[in-house]
Amino acid sequence: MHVRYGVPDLHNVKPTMENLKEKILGVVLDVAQENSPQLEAVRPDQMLVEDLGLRSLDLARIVAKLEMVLGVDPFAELVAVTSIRTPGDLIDAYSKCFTGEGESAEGSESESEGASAPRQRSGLASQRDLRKQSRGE
Amino acid sequence: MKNEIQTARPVAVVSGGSRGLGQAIVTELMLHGLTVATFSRSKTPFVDEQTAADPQAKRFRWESLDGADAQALAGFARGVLQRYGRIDALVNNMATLGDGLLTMMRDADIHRQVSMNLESAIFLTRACLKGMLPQGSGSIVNISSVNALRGHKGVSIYSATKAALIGLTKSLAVEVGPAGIRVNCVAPGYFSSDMTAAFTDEQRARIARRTPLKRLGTVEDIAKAVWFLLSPESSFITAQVIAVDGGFVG
Repeated sequence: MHVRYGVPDLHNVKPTMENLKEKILGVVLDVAQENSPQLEAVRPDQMLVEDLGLRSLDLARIVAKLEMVLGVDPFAELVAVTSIRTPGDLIDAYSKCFTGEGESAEGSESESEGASAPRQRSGLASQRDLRKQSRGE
Repeated sequence: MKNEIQTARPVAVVSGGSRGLGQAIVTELMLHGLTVATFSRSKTPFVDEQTAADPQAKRFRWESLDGADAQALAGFARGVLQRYGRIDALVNNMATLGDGLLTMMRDADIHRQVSMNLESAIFLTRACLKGMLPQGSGSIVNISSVNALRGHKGVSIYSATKAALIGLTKSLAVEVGPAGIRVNCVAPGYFSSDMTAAFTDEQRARIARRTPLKRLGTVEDIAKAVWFLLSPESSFITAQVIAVDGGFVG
């Protein structure tokens, strides 16, 4: 997927849901293929860590690439990045930027936590996990 | 896109590039073919000269900005990406020195130094990384100080902020190294600048006596070290602090 280096004018860019999904899955696939070149596609329900082998820095790269493509960063205020476990979570997070959902950071965080509670923790971008890593736990 | 220039030239962001060391760094990087985007609170003759020579900002871009404003810093980095489509290098140079005994310093002066010298580097780095991470390459140089390595009276807050930049350098280098981004630090010793302009001749002579290379540094000495760390010549160097101090022994 070609990543455009340049922040789009947000007023002119409002991707459709299908378009948004396609762009996000494309960027996730781009990054995942660097570790797993044989990977041909990613699904919204796959776990970023367990299924796709991504690490916290990979998620940071995905978010940076998506900011270039979409011109928004939902993790600046709207959504807690620690709630992201799957490409589907990413699609939900970015769709909030374009639908106006989750205008309050508190609301979106509690919604994300609630939605992801049954899932296992992925360990992505979690400060607690990083601290554990640094202590060798 | 309006005002967009896609450039094959590497693009560098330099904080505080309108005068002194920042000006020397901007000059050095432009000499090596980089496009440079910089900001400072106010214009200087150097900025006027560069903008007059390049009114379309193809090689030099300057904005008036308060370095203590985190949102403005992020906006500046976004503007550079929008304009040039890339950020290859970042030099966190901006700093302010408020000297005086700690117990005599006003709260506002302490906050200002921490904000200008440390927080601004953190926020600008975060914003510029959003351009470097998708590219999978980049080089960051933080300008620390000899005061981060040795104690000196009257500069405790300045020293604390400059030492913190070394911590930032070392941890961030580990964090973003796998993404092809290098982070290093230059720790200048005493060099001729606004910050040392008030030194007496006797003080300068004393510094020179304690410096094995027998002189104060120049801004060019520092700028060349910065260029080395940004350039491909140092492609296997990261998480390092290079003291450019003539071997100053304190």
